[in-house]
Amino acid sequence: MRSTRTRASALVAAIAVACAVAASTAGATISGITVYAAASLTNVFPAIDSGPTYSFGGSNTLAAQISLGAPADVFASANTTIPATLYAKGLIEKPVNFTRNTLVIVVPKSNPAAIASIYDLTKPGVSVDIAASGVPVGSYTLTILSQMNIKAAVLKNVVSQETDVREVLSKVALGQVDAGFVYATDAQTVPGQVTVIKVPAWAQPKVTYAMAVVTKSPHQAGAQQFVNEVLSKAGQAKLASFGFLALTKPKETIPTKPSKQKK
Amino acid sequence: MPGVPAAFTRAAALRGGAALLFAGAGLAALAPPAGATPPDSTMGALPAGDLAYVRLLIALELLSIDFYGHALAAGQLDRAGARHARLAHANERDHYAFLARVLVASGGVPLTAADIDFSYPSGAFASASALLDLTITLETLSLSSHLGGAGGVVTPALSGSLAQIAANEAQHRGAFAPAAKATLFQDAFPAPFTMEEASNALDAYTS
Amino acid sequence: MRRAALALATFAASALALAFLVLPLAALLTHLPPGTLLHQFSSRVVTDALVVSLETSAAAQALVLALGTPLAFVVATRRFRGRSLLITLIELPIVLPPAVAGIGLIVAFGRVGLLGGTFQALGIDVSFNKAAVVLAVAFVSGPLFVRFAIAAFEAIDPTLPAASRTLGAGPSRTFFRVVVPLARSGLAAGAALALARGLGEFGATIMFAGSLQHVTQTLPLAIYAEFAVNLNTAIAIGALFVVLTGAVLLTLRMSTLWQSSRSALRSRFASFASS
Repeated sequence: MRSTRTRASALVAAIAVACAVAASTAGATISGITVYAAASLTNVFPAIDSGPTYSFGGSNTLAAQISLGAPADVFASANTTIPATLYAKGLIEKPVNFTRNTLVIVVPKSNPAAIASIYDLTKPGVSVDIAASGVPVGSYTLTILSQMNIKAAVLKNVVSQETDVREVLSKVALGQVDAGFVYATDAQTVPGQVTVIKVPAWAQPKVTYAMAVVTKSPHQAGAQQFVNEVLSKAGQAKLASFGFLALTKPKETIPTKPSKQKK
Repeated sequence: MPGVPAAFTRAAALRGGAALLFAGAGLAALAPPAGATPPDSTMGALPAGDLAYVRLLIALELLSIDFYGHALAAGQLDRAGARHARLAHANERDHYAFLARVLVASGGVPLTAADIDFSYPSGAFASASALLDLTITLETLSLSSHLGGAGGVVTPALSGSLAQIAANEAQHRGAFAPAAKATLFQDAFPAPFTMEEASNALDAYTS
Repeated sequence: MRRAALALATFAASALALAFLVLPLAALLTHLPPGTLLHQFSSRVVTDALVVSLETSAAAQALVLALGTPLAFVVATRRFRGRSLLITLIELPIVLPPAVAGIGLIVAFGRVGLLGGTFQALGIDVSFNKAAVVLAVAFVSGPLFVRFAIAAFEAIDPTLPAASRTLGAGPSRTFFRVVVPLARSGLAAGAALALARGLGEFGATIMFAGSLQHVTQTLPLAIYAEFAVNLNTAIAIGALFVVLTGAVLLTLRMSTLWQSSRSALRSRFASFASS
């Protein structure tokens, strides 16, 4: 009798340990938390962890919802200024940067307006779609246009201002507009439907994403676990596989001197 | 005093001092001659169009600096070529520093080498001829862009400074042209690039 | 005792229902102090949205009345095969989710849609402009009007227009002088509901016409845009909306009452005159 009970309890303990080990390895799923994240993270976050409930949208809309008491446990924004504002209001913990991105121009596959560079967006008759200025990608777009001194000319061609980046992407993919400004990572999610046009590197703004645990969250441990997951090597690798940039650039290798060749 | 060699006589000290003096004079000779002090970068807040040009040209300087760094490390240049490359490298750094100061004075944040990645045609650093060809290409790009800037900005002080930089880039091109077997000069009026042309040309070297 | 309890329960349920319906409206109007509320109305976003909404709703309403009335009359007075199917098709946009309506408009009239090429060839531009908003609003509000209009025309005693024809009136005179006045309360109700529905359209508009201040950003679109920017402005637009739609429906109610009192007066006069 006693040996059976011992064996049973040993088995239960072994299962418990196995579960704990499985839960602590990368790819584990955290259940019971809600993550409010920028629309550009729609594909990558569930790939990092499929457990949480996600709400994706424009970072400013999500921040407004959190200010009104929405039940988010984690907030991830496509810039650092929106989290800084929430942190100053005491709504979230101190934000941490977790990835970077770049902006690109997307045009429909058929490229009806024959856009070859960003300067073509100043031509009359071209329809351009951007996000509203309060949305991070919209603000980044306006920065690019200001830095290149083509803001007035391009704004004349803007036909709509969307509330998140995926709406811009959809309108371009559908062929409704001639061009739109999205993140490089968004363009990768609809490969056959859009063509990517580079934004000049000298005008690229610094795009840094930041996230934090919501202070009023009743699931602090789970929320913190999610943040750690995203910052972990596995999480960062997943982000890189979706086209996001590492937080710090890897050290550049200068080409080494080959043997001297007499001219 | 213990440890001081016994041969440390006054004569030796005098000789050492003379050597130092000589070396110092030599170093001074290597320093840029008077009249090469950078132009006044206190131009105040520049209009948006001028600032756009400054940002573009800052990126172009970073390309030149990056390129010459690789060129010197590749070891393909002969002694004269390497010397020209070192001087050109120093010039480009001075150009960058000047333009960065101008941008900061207008409240902007200049791009740094860490912010931008450059890539070059494959095999560009594999042979001396490929390297020299690329040098001519980049210096011509630099010349045309700065010329375009000189004509395109509205602030006279900035326009003058960009013309100075353009002249310097032309000197670089001229220095490498014989070795690269490129035409020394042909146009009485080298063509300037519009901002769009300069930006598109720069795009080829940025990832 | 039972009857008193029943009465109390009925009263409580009614009060609850009323509170549920009225509370959001009251909250919209009272959340902000009056000064702040009025100050929001001076914002360009609000005034631009109001102008766009009024212009596009008026145009859509005109389109709906002009095309919907003949359609409703034909369907109401004729019997043909597939009539009930046709009525179902007409009423479908009422229950269609607005986002679906939006996508439908895109693939029908958008640049890449069925008629996209035709429109471009004819020089018709319905992308991201007021015309696009008018189309979206007319698509979602038109069926409401048509359904009410069909019911209104069907309710007319057929002998009356027949009598008018017998007395020598032509078809159009019969229609405008006999049929429409007889159907006016149903037509007015349909028109008012269509107008109110059209003013509130969001999903189809934002998908098909986009959202650009002063061009296509109607009041509902402005609320959505301002929510993340300035909550007070969003609330103010909401309050404006309550007032606007309330005015539309109130006008309808008042005109119905006025009509019924007029007809009551006339019938009394007729009976007096005949006596």
